[in-house]
Amino acid sequence: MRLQYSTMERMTGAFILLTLIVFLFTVAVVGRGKNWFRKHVVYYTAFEEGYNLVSGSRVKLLGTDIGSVTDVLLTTGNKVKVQVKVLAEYASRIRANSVATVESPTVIGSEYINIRPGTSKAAVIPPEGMIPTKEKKKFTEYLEQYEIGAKLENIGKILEDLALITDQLKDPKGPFFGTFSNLQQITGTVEAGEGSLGRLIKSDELYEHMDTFVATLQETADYLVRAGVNIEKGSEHLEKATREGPEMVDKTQELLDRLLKVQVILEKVMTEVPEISAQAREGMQEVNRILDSVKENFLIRPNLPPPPDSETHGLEIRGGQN
Amino acid sequence: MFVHASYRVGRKKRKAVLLALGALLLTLVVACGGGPKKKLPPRLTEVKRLAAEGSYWFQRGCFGRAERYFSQALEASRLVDDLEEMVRAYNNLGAVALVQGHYVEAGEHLQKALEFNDLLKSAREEAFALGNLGSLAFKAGRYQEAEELWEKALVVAKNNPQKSGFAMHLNNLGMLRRKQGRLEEAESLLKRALARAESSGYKPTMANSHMQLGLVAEAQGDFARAEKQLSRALEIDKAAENTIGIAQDLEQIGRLRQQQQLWEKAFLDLDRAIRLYGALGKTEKVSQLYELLETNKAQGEVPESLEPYEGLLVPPDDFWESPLCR
Repeated sequence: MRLQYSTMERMTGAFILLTLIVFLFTVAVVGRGKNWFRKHVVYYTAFEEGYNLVSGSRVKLLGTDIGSVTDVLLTTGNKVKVQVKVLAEYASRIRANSVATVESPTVIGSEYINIRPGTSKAAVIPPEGMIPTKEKKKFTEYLEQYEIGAKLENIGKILEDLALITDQLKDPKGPFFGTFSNLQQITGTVEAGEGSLGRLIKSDELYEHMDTFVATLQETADYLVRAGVNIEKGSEHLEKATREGPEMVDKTQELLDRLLKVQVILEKVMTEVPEISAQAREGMQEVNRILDSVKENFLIRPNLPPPPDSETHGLEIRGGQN
Repeated sequence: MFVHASYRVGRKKRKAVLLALGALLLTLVVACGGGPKKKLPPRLTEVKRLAAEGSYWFQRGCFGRAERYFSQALEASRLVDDLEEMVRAYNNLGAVALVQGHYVEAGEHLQKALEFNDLLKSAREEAFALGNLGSLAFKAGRYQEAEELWEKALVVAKNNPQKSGFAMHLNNLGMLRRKQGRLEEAESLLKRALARAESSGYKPTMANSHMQLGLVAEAQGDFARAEKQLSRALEIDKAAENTIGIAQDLEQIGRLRQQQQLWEKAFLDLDRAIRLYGALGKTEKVSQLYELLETNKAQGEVPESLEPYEGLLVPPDDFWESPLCR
């Protein structure tokens, strides 16, 4: 007896089968992304504190993801034992002198374990072995390391010195304002025509002598300028002639150079032209081949226009004026 | 034994679907398939393509371009030793040389066409070669020789089953009779030519028959009939987009208007004609029409100035190509 299934039963079966296939496909895709199907090796590390590590925290080698934390346990000796699984292909780099540290991200994210690879001479840590660790530094330890307290003390002293200097500058009898009043006294004496410098500046006789001397100097300079202009004109003509000659030669040379360059370019282009045209021809032949194959298509062939037919032309005399 | 009712229905449905698919396939095969078409070998296909390209430009009045294609067609036909295409190419080269005024070259090509046709023995090609040689003789002013050749061509064309070129030779003979002043004979020949051209549907020849009939009417002093025939010629040439034909029709209409002293109307036709000739680089025709416009200006004050046409009088250099032929 044949077992009969109704359409509804068949459709239900097909639907379940389809759902199963979709589920398996999804599992395969997700698992592949999450490295579920890749071989891992389990190691342990122990820290003084947990540093917010949880199951799923990332494990990195030189900043690259190689695995994750699978368990965080407290030991009887009040330490935190962390179980990690690392991709088997990186296991060979975890050696006796490798160091695991807990690091915090700069801005966002959670803590992770960063492993520094060991040297090639050191022995490889076997699976489920302990990776040596280095504790994460606390804030106070950073303060100690960089002697922040001493540096802050120095800054305080500098600020005190600055306040002292500004006080001294403000004092009217102090070094700054004292020097300033001395300067005022000296300029007042000169202004009154007192002292050697004041007399020299304020005396009219000296000014007149100076004026006459400057006028004589001006006249002499004028003569010299006029003579210079004449000489200059002559030399200008001479210069122009000597300057333009080489310039013209240079221009001619430049023109010839340009022509030579153009000629070189033209020669180059001319050598390339046959190659370009050959390439174009090849391209066109390829296109023709494709078109020929398209024309062979049974749907297109009947719709093609008939091939051109050659015809003979005769000359009819039109008009008849000539 | 239990058998579900839907099982029997399913079998019937399957049969119906299969039958429908079969019918569809059969329809497709009948519609798209058919027997294998005769396919020419690639070189000969190329020869025909080149010749067809040449014909296209010839009909547009782009004779330089047509000549290049006909030359290529000749070379390509030589490569496969296709006599028919070789003779056709020589005939076409002769026609294109003739229309450009290269008479020596035209004579050489046409003689070659006749020589190779001795091997081919194609009445069609022989008629065309003789007809073109007749046109060459006419252009050279040897009217008697032209008449003989055209009559010979007419006889050969008549023996050809397709009667190709028959109307054309009749047109040429009709034109010659008109020039000889034998107007009634001319009219009779031209009407026969028109009837033949209409049955073959070759528009340039139809247009020429109308034009020649118009010129006969003009010679007879029947301007109204002349105008009607010339207008019909223009109409047909326009429909065929025969550029050179359009220019020739306009020229003849312009001349007719001048005869009628309709100066303004004449100017409108001559202006269009001279510009078309200019665009095609027909300097000789441009000169002729310039003279007509000069007469028009002197008589009818239109055009106001001949300056716009002076640029057309400059003969184009060797590298010039008509904008209509690019």
